[in-house]
Amino acid sequence: MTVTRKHPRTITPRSTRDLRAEVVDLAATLAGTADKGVLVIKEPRLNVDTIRSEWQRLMKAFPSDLQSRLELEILDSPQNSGPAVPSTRQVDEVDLAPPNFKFEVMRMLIGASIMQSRSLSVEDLVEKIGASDFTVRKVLGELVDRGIARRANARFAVDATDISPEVLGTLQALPERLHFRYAAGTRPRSTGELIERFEQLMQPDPPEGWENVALSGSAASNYLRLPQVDLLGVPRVDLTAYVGKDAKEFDVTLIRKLDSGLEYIRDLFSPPSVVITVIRADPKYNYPDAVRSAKNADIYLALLDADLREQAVQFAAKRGKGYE
Amino acid sequence: MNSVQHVPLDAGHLLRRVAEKLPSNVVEHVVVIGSIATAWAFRDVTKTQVVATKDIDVLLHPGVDAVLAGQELGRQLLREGWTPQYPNGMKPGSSATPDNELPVLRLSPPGEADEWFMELLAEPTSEQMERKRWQRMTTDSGHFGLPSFRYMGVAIYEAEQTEFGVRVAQPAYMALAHLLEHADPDLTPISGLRNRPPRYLKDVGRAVALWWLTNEQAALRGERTWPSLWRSVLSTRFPGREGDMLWLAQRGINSLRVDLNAALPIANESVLAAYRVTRSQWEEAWSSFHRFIAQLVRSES
Repeated sequence: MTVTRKHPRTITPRSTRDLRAEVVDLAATLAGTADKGVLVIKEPRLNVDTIRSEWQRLMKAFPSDLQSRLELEILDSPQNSGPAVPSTRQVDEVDLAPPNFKFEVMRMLIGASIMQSRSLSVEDLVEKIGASDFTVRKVLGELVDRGIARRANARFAVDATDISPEVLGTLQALPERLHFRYAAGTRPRSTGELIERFEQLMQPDPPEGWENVALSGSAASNYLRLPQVDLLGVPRVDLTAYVGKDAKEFDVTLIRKLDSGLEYIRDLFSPPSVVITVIRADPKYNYPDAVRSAKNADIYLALLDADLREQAVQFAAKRGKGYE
Repeated sequence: MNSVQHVPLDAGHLLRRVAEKLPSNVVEHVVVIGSIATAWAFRDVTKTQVVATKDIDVLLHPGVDAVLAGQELGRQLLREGWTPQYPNGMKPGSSATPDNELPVLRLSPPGEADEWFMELLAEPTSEQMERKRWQRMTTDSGHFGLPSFRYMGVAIYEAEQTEFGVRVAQPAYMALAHLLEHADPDLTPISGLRNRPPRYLKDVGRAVALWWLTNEQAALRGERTWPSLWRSVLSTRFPGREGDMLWLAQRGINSLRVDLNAALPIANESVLAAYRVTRSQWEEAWSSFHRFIAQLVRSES
C-alpha cells in the first residue's frame, strides 16, 4: 500500500453525533485513495472513554484497509497540543549569559602555563577565543595591572598555580556552570557509573548535542591515567561543553541521555552530581579528541571549582611534564 | 497474566523450573514471554531477578501445532499433579462452553500452587487477522482455551536461548508487538488490576518500560540497536510492508499520548517495581520513544 498524503482534521465535537459525522466524513475523504487520515480532537467536551469507545465502534463498520489508515488523537488541554505530553520538568533550555572574555583569556593563559609555561600573543588569543582585538587587549591590560599576568615582548603568561577560584572571583572571571542533580524519587548512579554511561554515550559516535562535550575534572584526570594524581574518589562528574561565543541557549534536557533521573538546578550551593562548564572560545580549537577529555585548562579549573586544589596542582605539574 | 502481586519470585529460578518440568520434546517449542522474560533480560539493570508477578506466560510454537502441543502438555502436567488455576471465579469449560468463554489453561506445579503458575498461549498463524483467537483444548480436567494474539509472532522472533534450556523473548520485539497490537487500542478492562484499566494502557506502557530499561542498560542502547532489530523482524514477517508496520507502531505509541501517566503505576507495579520510575522519567521515556519511532517512520517513507 502506497501512502500518498495524510489528512489531519482537528475538531472539538460537542456530542457523539458530531463525532460520528466527522469520522464518517473523514473516512469518505479517504475512500478510494491510499491516503491516511488523523482525526485530532482538541479539548474534548466528551468523556475520553466515550470518544474511544465510539471510535472503536465506528471502525468496525469500515473495511480493514480503511481502518488501518484512520488514526485518532485526543488533545485534552492546550499544553498537550505538541508532539509529546507536557513535561513535569521545570526547564528545557537555559539562556546563556554573554561570553565572559576575561575568563576565556585567563583560561587560555592557564592552558599555556600548564604546557611548559608557554606564553601567548594578542593574536593567538584573538584567533582562539574569537573575541575582538580591543577586548583581548583590554582584558590583558587589566590582568597585567593587577599582577595576575606577566608581559614580555608582547607575549603574555600566567602561573597556573597562582590561580584560585578566589582570584577568578575577584577578577569577575568565572565561567558559566550548569549544575545537575538527581530529582526526588530517582535512583542516583555513582560517579563511576555516570562516567561509564558517558563513555557508552559517546561511542561510537556522540548523539546530537553532545558532539562538543568532553569529560573534565577529576574523572578526566583519572581517565588520562596520570601518575601520582591523588584522587580518593570522584565527588561529582565534570563535563565541559564548547559552545562558542554565539550560542544563546543551552539545552539542559541533553543531560537526560546521560541519566534520566538528572535535572537542572539553579541553586549553585546544593551539591551537584554533574557540572557542565560552558566554554565560549572557538570550538574548532577545542574539539574533543577521540578520548573525549577536556582541555588541560578546563580540567584544571574544574578541579579547583570542586575544591581539589592540591590535585589540580598535581595535575598541572604532571601535564606540564608531558604526560599526554 | 492478570494478577500482579509483589511476590519475591526469581526469574532464573522460574525459568529453570519451567525447563525442568516441561517434557524435553516440548521445551524446544516454547518461548517464555512477558514479565519473566523482561526480568531475565534486565537482571543486570535491576541488580535482581525478583519479579512482581506469579504468572509465567509460555508461548507454544509453531502455531500450526500449538493446539496439539498444548493438549499434550496440559494432559501430561495434569497427570503429574499440576493443578489448574481459574482466574476471576471461572470454572472449567465443557463441550457446551463457547470458545471465547473457555478459561485459559493455567497450571501450577505440585506443592507450589500459591507461588506461581504457567499460562499457555499459542503463536498466531500467519493468517490470523483478529486481535485474539481462541482454540479449544480438551483435557481430563475439562475444556480450555488456547489464546493467540495476532502479533505475538513478532514478540518471539529470535528468542534468546538461556542456560536453562528454555528460550525467552527479547525486549525489542516484545515492545514492538505491543505497539502493533494497540495501533487500534484494546479498551477491554483488565479485571485483575485495580480500577480495571484498559488493556492498551498496560501493554503500551509495557513497551515504554522496555524502552526505558533498555536505555538504562546502556546509554542510547535503544536508539542504537532497536532499528536493525525491528527492521529484521518486520522484513521477515511483513516483507514489503515495513513502512506500514512502523506506521502502526507509531499509532501504538500515540495511543498513550493522553493517558501516559495513568500507565505509570501499572508499570511501576510490574516490570519497573525494582525502580519505581518517577513521572518525569516516564514522560521523558515516552517522548524519546515517540521521537525514535517517528524517525524510523520518516526513514522508511
